[in-house]
Amino acid sequence: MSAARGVVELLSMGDRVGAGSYRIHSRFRRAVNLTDGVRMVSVVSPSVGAGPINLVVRGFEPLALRSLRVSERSVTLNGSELEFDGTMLYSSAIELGDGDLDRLVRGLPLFYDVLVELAPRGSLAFLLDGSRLRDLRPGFELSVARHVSHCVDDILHGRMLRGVARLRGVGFGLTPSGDDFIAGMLIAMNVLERASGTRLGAACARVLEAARTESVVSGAFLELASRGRVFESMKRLIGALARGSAAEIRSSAERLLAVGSTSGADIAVGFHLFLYSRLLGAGRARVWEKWTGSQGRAGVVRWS
Amino acid sequence: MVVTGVVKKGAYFDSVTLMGVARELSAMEGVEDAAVVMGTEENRAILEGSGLVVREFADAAATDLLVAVRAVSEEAARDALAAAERLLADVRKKAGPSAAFEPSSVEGALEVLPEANIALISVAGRYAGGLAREALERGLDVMLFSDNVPLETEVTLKSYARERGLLVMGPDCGTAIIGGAPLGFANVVNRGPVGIVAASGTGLQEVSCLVSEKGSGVSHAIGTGGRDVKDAVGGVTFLAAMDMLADDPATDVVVLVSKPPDPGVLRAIREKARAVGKPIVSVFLGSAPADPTESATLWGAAVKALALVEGRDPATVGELSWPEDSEPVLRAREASAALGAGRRLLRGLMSGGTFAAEALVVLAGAGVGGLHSNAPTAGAAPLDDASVSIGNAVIDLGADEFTVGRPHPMIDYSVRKERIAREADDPDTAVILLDVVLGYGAHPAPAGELIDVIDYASRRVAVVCSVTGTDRDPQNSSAVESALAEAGAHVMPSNAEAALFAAHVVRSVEGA
Repeated sequence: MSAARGVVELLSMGDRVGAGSYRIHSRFRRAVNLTDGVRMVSVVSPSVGAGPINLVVRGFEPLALRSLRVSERSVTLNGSELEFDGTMLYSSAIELGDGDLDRLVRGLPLFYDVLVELAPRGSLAFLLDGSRLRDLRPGFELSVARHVSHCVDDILHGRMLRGVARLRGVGFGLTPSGDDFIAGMLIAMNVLERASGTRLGAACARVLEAARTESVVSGAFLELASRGRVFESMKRLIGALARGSAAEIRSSAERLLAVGSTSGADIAVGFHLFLYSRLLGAGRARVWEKWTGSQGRAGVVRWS
Repeated sequence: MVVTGVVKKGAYFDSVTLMGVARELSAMEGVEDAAVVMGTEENRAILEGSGLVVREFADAAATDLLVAVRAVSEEAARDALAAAERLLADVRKKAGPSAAFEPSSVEGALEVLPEANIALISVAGRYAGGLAREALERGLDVMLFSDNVPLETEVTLKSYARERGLLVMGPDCGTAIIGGAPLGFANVVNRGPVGIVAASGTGLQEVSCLVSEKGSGVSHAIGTGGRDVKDAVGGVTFLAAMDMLADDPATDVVVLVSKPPDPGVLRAIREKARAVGKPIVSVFLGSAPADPTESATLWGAAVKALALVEGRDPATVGELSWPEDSEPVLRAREASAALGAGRRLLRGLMSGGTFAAEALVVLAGAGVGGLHSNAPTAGAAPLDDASVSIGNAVIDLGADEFTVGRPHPMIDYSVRKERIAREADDPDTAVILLDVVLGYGAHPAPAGELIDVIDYASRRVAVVCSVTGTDRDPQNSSAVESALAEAGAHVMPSNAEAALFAAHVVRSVEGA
């Protein structure tokens, strides 16, 4: 019979993809997570986009993946070697400079509006808009929401590590919403460090320690977030908030919300709430009220 | 109130899916609350706080999925857990990784399996040509299971494939075994040194099974579709397949199987056979063997191939015959002696044209006269109405007049069962000859279909049959043979031997 002739092309390799042989951890429609026991790599469709540990491959159905080997010069999928050159390397570092902080602050309300409008049902967007609690089912779903709210309240009001420790692992799917929220929060800490010059490396390390999880997937993403390594749609959002137009903020936020089923939204909520609390918290709330036009829409839902 | 739950080790889903499943469970009658979450320590704590924890959750890992239900009764809780299983299975089936992805295009299929090098196409004939062309353009060989593909489409596809060094098996190619992978109606046979090119699906099955059951095996069995060896197509695929087997290092011996090709195509095949450079045996059912490498029957081709595998001269293998004092001949005489007065005629009720043709060749060779068939060969007279047997009749029940609007008789035995009973009731009938074809795609339990009617018929006539298959087929050849024999059939190892047995019964009646 004739030889294989499928056209498979490597489009991008994240700058945190390590050399080695990986085995399948979990499969989703557009992405396959692989691990060597310690590190993670994700083989993803182009629609998912680049990331620090993503291999973006065109012409390849992730469901068909059986084996992966990565070396410094090549990527081998199912025994077929794909060409790789330096132009395919995705830089996952957050790029911000002096002066970006003020623009970031001004971009947050628009980002908030998109989250409230478009975040998927089942995500943590109820933390931004209390009316979303009506979507939750009495019983276990509301119990989860109540627990999350208490944790986030702790995080944002001086009991950060306790809140993180109780929030980790909370939620429904493979990467629990609580872990995604903490990842968003860690990214926000890195943004603040780069944009304001505040040294937050030690704080990130403590949060990461408090969030330590037995989930390899969550562990990997939290570690990357703590080091300020972000996937393409998050990087684009940060760039848009710092330097982009309203349209760019909206489109990049929409793209972030499309990540996973609720992961993108949960990361976005963690990112937004942490930035909000640090940039517009005590003493700056009035600015927020002016921008949003409604004090009641912002902040953490409080439980009696 | 009842709280129950299960731990599904290593299962995972996205959060929206799990929330959706839990909502469906909660909406069930008698269910107060339900949760479907990953088994993290924190989730287990929330479950406990929600009155949804069970003892089994204590040892769960973060990578386990927990399903918890609180219901008003044991029954409601049990129903909810069963519903959870079903809902999660449905999700996996629709979108999950372990389920078979169902691409809707050649392009989509290649995304799933980019290393694929062959496309099996089974769609309505009017669409099959376009898909086959697309597959060829992407460098795939094609097995065209579909029938009703226009002749000009077949010619065009095969011409294009030949230019690209590719193969179009079919249209109406029901069987192939490529590198050990059975495609379409194929059997689970040993792998080995015998390569087969066949313009006949059941012929391919019979030869491959005989080769395997006699201890050798098959490298590749390439179907061409019956129309390939007609003048209009010119044997394009048949000849290309011979080249492929010539180049294939796993193939030592090549077997060619067909009903008589167009004379020009037959010349080309014989010419190609001389150039292949490997031992070849052939069977062109209905045409006289031209030399000792050709056989009149499928059985003969298989046995000659085995001789070649063992390094013996195929000329030393004669056509099928039995000494007068051999066991099958003596058994045929016994069967003949048990028949009621006046029963003297043979009725072959075959599921395929190739088996009908081989039976006619064997019957004619054994001196059975007055042969009639709706697929006449070997001097048999044509039947104007195949629903009415005349003389010694061999009927191809896979012919169009029997299969329009209903499944093939290898799958649906209803027509054959009715005909067996009717022929057994005919006071002239002495022998009913049957074939039973096993393998993928064939009826999953043919013995169950046939034993009642064979029991009925064998009290009146001699029922003789063969089973084409292997013990590794889904139906298990030995089990089917035992069941048929117990019902009263004389079960023979091949279609040719069954036909010869039937011939001896009829001849014994004539000689009585």
